[in-house]
Amino acid sequence: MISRRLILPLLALLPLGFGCAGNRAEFVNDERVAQLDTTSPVAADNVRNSLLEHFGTPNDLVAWGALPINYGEITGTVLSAPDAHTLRISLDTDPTDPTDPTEQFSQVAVVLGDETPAHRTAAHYDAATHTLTLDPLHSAAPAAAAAPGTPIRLIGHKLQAGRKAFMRHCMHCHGVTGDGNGPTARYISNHRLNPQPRDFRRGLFKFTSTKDGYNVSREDLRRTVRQGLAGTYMPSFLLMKSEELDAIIEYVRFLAMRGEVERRLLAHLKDLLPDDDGTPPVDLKTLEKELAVDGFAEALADAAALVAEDWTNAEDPQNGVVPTMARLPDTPQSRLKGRNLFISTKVNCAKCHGEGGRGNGGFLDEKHKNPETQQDYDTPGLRDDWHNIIRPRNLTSGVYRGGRRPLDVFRRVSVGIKATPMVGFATNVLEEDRWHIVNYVLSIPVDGAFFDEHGQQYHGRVRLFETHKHDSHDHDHDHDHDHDHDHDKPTPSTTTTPSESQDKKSQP
Amino acid sequence: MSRIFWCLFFTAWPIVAIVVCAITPAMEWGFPGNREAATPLGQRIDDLFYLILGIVTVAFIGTMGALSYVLFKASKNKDEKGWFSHGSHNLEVIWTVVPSGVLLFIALYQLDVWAIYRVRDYENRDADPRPLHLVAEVTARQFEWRIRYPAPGTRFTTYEQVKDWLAKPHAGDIYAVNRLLVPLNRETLIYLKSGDVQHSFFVPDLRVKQDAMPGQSIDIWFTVNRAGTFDLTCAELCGWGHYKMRGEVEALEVEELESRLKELKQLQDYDGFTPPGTAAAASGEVTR
Repeated sequence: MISRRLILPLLALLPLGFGCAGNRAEFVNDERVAQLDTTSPVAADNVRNSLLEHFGTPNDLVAWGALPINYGEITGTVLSAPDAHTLRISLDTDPTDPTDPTEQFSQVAVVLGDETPAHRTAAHYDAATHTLTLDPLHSAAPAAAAAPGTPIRLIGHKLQAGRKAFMRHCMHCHGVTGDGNGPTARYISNHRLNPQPRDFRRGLFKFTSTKDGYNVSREDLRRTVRQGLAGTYMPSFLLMKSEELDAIIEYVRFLAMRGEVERRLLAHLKDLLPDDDGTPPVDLKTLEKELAVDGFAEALADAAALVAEDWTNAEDPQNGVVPTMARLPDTPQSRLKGRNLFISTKVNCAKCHGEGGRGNGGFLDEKHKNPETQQDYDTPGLRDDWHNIIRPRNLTSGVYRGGRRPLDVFRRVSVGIKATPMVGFATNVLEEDRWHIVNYVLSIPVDGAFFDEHGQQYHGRVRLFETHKHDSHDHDHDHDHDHDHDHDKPTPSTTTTPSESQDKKSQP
Repeated sequence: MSRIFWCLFFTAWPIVAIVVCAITPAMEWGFPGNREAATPLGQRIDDLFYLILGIVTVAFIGTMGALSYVLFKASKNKDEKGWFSHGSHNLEVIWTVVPSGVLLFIALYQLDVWAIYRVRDYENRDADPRPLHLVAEVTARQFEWRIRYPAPGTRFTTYEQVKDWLAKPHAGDIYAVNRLLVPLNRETLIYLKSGDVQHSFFVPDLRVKQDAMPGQSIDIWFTVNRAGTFDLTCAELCGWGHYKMRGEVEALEVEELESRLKELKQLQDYDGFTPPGTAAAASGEVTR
């Protein structure tokens, strides 16, 4: 009687026992791999298999030694091997994640002695008894061969931690593969003013401290994640623990390198791709043998070497943009020089950023060339390397995506913003002049973009927060192409007092 | 059998409730901040909660006791018929007047706290001689807290100056994100804005919760009287990344606050230049 009454509530509780199983994450391959399938399945399979072999899947990651990634390595010694799949070990350093010491070593590669990696995978580590259990499915050689005293290396715990943290914090915008196409990315794509989530697969990152042509450094990524990109949907993760942050950065670099290796392989195989109308190349069999069979291993090694070189170079301090002189004092004269460069034909910031720095220069109204097809885009507007329309920064807003330190602005002026039409002027503008531009740009939100005939700075006609009572007639708010001040009274700055200007001179 | 089950079932719940009440202090299940607010006003808000809890407890135990008494009394008495009270004028008046009185008491009793918390602004404080610390402007965005401090050492004396500072960027402003520094034992004021949608500035330990409205600049007053770092969260579902809006409020002695702000300013003014011959200064590249 009772049991019959209780059966419904018990049934209702039953679903609590089930998790959301079966949702395994997968890396998505470039769409050209599928195109390759139509002409040369051998080549497509080679690309797929080599990516699988060297990068694995999100749930079964591979640490490829050819790439400069800190996968996380802990060394130790074998104490004894009780059976074929169990080792008692002594680690030189303790597991770094105190919250999760047993989980930390699941799926980590176990290397005994100095053999090549990826022979065994750990399933479980018990910190209390120092017992490492091997995964029987992924462990070819029996562990019994390990004599006590054999050195042991556990590789990959950092990458695993990075994957976990990435899946929690980043994946929903940047996607499992890092292609900038996660589930919430469309809410950003629909937002006119925001850039797309970054697609890591090209290895291109906008805000770097490195010279033109160099990749992003770990420190740059760390700064971006911690500070966020102000004015975009990339939020700040300031309070994230530094171990977690470091792990995420390694994982982002891993995803970027995976994408780059894939791109380079596809570039190697591009002659096998079908035409726009789907016709395969004429000498398919010869090309296939040459590119996808005989030359493939070499192409893969080359791709990895080039990618590794790029990412290693990015960490070299030699390749960073470092000023060789201190910031010039922020004087009205310096700002005026900056202003003159801003509108000069040589630097011509105004072409994109507008005369008033509002990000509405005339260059925006022109059609621009698609660098891949060498033909004009259908619609006018500036585009980044992913073909998304982007807007030059409105310098009056006081929001600086790449950071507001003088150093950050100096770097933007010097080497530009990677993968965008914002170019750098390190080669053709003197460092001194670049500091003048920095002083001017940083002063725009506070004191205004324009100078009157007395050298006094003033804001343009459109003020965000103040309405000008004398501002009477028919202004087209989208254009600042006026130098005539007859109907546009200068607004003397109320904010810069002599004492403040004095303060600004004493830069550290 | 069935009757015994239901008797036990309904007896178990009051016992569970009493046990939970008894172990709550030990388990720290009570109010955030180890049950003590870090602001004087927060302590008064807690007192109000406890007052209401007391009233509700008395009412609950009283009514349940009366109900039990009636049930047990009546179940023993098989001879007498029940008395139907429906339509009794006196009873209606009693159970209307008594709860109304209680509610009225609560309403009047809390007015002072509400007035201190919400009904005042900078304008009415101009005559107030007590020192006031305008700390920052906090802009809630999807999904972070962007913070702007006045230049270190700035003192506002009139409301006009405050309005001017809020309206536009000023030379010397310090910009930060997700970590708000506030002074200890000073009446502080922050202005809350929203960059996009509705958010809510919630610091449980300070008992401060205020919605951020797009297009408005809302003042929040508090005096932190316990040094420490307190969680700042968004208490208004603001979008898919709502949970990412994690921040910190750090309460510091005034001198320490000033030096921390100066340090932030130095980092913000970093120009990356190291004079030749000096060791590479790491300070500038450190991202706090």
